[in-house]
Amino acid sequence: MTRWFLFAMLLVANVATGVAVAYDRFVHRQLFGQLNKLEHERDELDIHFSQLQLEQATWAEPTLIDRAAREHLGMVVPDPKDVVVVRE
Amino acid sequence: MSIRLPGRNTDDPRPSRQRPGRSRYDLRQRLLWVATGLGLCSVALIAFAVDRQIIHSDFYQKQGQERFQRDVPIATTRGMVTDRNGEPLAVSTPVMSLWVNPEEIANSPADIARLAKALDIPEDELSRSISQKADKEFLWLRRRMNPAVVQRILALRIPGVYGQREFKRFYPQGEAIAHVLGFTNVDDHGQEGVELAFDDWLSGKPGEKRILRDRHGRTVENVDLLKAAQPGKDLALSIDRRIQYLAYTELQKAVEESGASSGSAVVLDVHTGEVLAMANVPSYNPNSIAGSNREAHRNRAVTDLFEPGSTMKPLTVAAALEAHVITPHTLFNTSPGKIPNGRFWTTDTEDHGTLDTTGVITKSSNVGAAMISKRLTNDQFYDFVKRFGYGNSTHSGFPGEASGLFPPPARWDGTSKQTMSYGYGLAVTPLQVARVYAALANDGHEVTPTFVKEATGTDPHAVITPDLAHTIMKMMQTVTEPGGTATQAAILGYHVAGKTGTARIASGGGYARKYLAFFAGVVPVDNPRFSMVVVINDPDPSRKGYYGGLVSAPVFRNVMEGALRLADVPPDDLGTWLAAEEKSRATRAQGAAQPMGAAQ
Repeated sequence: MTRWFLFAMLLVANVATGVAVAYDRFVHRQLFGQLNKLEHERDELDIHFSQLQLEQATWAEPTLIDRAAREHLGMVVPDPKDVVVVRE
Repeated sequence: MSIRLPGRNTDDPRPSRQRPGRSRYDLRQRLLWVATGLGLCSVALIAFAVDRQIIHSDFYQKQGQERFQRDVPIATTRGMVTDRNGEPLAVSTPVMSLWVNPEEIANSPADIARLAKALDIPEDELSRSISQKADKEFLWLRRRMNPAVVQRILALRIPGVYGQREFKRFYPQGEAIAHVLGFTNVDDHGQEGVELAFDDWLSGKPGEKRILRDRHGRTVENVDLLKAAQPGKDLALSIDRRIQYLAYTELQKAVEESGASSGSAVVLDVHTGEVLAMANVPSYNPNSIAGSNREAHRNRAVTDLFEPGSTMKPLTVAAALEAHVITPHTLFNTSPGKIPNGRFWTTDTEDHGTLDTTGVITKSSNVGAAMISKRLTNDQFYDFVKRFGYGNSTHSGFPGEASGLFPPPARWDGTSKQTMSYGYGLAVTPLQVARVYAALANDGHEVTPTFVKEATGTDPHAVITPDLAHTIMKMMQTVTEPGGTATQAAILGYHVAGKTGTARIASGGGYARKYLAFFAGVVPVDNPRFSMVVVINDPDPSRKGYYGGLVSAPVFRNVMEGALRLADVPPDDLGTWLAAEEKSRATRAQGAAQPMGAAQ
């Protein structure tokens, strides 16, 4: 009797782990697919960010700013003679 | 053949009579034969199944996996290089590369024609390169293209043509900082400069994943992650983009105006040894290296050797002061402006008469320096200068850094010490000179130059006493004041310590009529922040002259003026500033008064 019971237990356990393994694999694949998707998304965002930074850096190129300040806005570096020293 | 039913035979015995040789068949036996045949078939099937599934299962599984399962690399990006304020200096951006599978397209001239048209290249050229690789499965068509263009070509759906994402390095600052950054090759590996020195840090480690693909190479399923990709790390340099830009444009202007062949400038933070700017002319555009002049790729500020000329004199004076063979007030009679040096003469540009120690620096007297060196032994002079790192690499970690030439006394001849006392007969890099001046400004503590922001391991160590360093600084301050050789380096509101240098360029065993215009300086004197060296190589004497004080000092002043403003360094010389203010107010008042006077 106990022998049969043991056998039945093992059989059930065997089937259960078999199903669990299959299920786990299924879940793993799903999660891995999700991970891949998210990583891809992250990479795309990173790339977009680097492109934006590059664009910002290109606009902030000192030559451009220098020219805009001098020619467009008519700015000049103040001559030290024009600077008033304020003493505390 | 038809099966005859037994009943028919009993009804009509004729056929058996017609064929008497044929025995009556046994149904049971026939069924047995059929069953045996079918049984054998099943046995064979089972045997084959056992063979496939158990005995040779590894082999077949491998074959199957080879066809559909692939371990593919996961691409990573190279880290970004920024300046000390986080402004990007080198960024990787995605580009697309086109490749073709020659096997798929070789037999279809129409497709090749369409492809050639899309790529805008001659058709025969394309078909030739495809037929040359007809037995291969891979051929780059064109690398690093604009992604939009590639998408357009892929949209034509030409069989066998595929796109592959790659990364290209982009340098928004262009040529202004090209030499420090260096560049990468087509496979994204650093080739020169910081890109090479920190290649391991910047480049990521590609990962690996297992995927299933269909017959067309499309990914069906991601099976497993074998190795996670490690993206490259970012790197913050010690460079300040704004000072760098200023240094480059001012240097370029000076080189152009003086008709020089090249020039270099280095700005160091005197306390930390951080390289705030390092510029060289001629430069190149790192965004399109192909076809640029290899000569222009060299970071002259660390790879090229120059005789330091008169920038050496503060060291000569410091050595003698430390050895107590002179005091700041010792007098030297430099008349008549020349003194024998072996078979040659050490000469000054003019007769400076009697000078004290400070005067030797102020007027940059070769004769004075020679007289000071006579009071020192060879070893005293050598050991002192050696302490400042001449003849040794600065260990900045920059690829291809030169260590300079400073031979030990055993290899000197009778004139070496005297010649070296004013900067000939030894060779140094501009970075080494900047480091020496930084040490003089940093209370005699020498630091290791570094290109990385807030780098560790640059621990300053004392090479001379703070008192001696201060004395030398005060002497060098006279150089930029009225009567000195570099009044053009003076900055209103700040005390500037510096030293000019004008060296003849050695060539073919003698010295040619070619010059190096040096200026090395430190600012502000009372609380030093920056040490800067400017070298202009071979200026055309007929333009602005060739003296360091005329050619290089203005570059120093313009760059430092900007750097002091950018770094919010308070003025340490309010006296002259107020005086200048007073004067300009007076002239303005005068200018306002005069028209009134004229009207009266």
